[in-house]
Amino acid sequence: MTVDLIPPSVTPQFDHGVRLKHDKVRERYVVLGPEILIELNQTGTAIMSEIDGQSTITDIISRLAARFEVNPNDITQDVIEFCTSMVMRQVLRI
Amino acid sequence: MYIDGDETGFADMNQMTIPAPQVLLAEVTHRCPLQCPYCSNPTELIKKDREISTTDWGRVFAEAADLGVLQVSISGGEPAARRDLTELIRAARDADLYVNLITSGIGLTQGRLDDLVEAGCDHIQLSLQDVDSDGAKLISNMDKSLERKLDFARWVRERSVPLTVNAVMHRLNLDRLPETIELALELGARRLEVANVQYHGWAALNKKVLMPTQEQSSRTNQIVAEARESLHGRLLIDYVPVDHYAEYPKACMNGWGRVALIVAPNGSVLPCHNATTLEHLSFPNVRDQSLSTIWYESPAFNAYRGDSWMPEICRSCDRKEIDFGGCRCQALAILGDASAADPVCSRAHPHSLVIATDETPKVGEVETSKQITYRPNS
Repeated sequence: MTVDLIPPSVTPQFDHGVRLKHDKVRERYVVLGPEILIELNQTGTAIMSEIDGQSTITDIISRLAARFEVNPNDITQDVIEFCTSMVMRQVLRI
Repeated sequence: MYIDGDETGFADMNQMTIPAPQVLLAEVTHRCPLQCPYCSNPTELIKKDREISTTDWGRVFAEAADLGVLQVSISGGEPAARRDLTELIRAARDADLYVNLITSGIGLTQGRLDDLVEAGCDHIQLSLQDVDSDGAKLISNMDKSLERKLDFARWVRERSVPLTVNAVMHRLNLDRLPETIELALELGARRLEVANVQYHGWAALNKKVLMPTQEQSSRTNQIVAEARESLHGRLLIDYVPVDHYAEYPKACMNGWGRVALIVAPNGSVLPCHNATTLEHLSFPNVRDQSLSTIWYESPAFNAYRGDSWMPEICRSCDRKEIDFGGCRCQALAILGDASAADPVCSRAHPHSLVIATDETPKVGEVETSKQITYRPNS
């Protein structure tokens, strides 16, 4: 199945009934939603923590680049692909 | 305690290696206004006077969260049959659990739904018997049950609570699967569970009426695959195929005592809905022990963990970490041995075993409520 990537100009937000939670027992962050339980790795946690319903993907990429001291171009594809997969899984909506 | 981790890759069973549970199924009551003949409750229903209290449930939710549970599904019977449902939902949210409500929608008014949402209900899963009003009545044994569910689904959407439609499928409604998918879209559901009946308990009593034909089963696989493709991004479809026509067993409960635990209305803690059919096991109760002790140390939860209980054909099988040996209740029910390889497994048994032991359905038989064994609407 081919999936169109979402454009960097969109503003993602958590879909209804979805939230980020710190899993204190396993010391990690998870996404909880309807029939959804996704363990996040460090990258996923960093991206999801930036989702505020105000920032575009481009904004998020520049903040992450500054935070981790990397070139924005080096992470653009990863962030867009991750956010696209989260939209497809009904974790984020745009 | 046994140690055989070196050869098999499975670690030995102790508290360091048993994963913490992630999901709690809280069966808060077995009472229900509907009488579906495939109800997942055991055939021996627990009566109201044996149900644990609001306070007990609050403690269960708090202990579950401490143990690592992230999601609770509040289910039944019909959970709305409990007058304290709002308090139960609030207690689960106070424990910082994600709260799914699994309901028939019958018995909930708009005002009561407002209370549940205000108390923190995160997601509602609505069961659907049939898109056809007569078909829904035949299964639920209640007039206008479909119409009442349609109203309820609308109220849920009006409150922006995410809605999943759980369509339980069997021989009498599988031919209406395309219409079922259409209805889920119309109702504004974001997810649809196309869940074929699992033939345990009540459903086993009604296998002759409910078991789909192999042809229906194959067509369903195809319809689901096509709908997933065409509705990608609009409607997520979870699919539970007909177990009996599968080549390999399902990963029943994602493995015994691996991910989920069930607390029955009387406080009994079970690794799966039907575990009470395993009469050689005694199931601990939240009134006597902590959930942590029950999860890590009880003989019942340790009975089918790992692979030491497995017959050699399963222990040496490369699928044992995919299906974890399949369903213990089915092994007992069909083969008379709870430790046997799942009767569905084509590697362990002649492929026709499950079908041959069943009464294979004949299409064209007259189906009426007289042929159905309903569960009581206690």
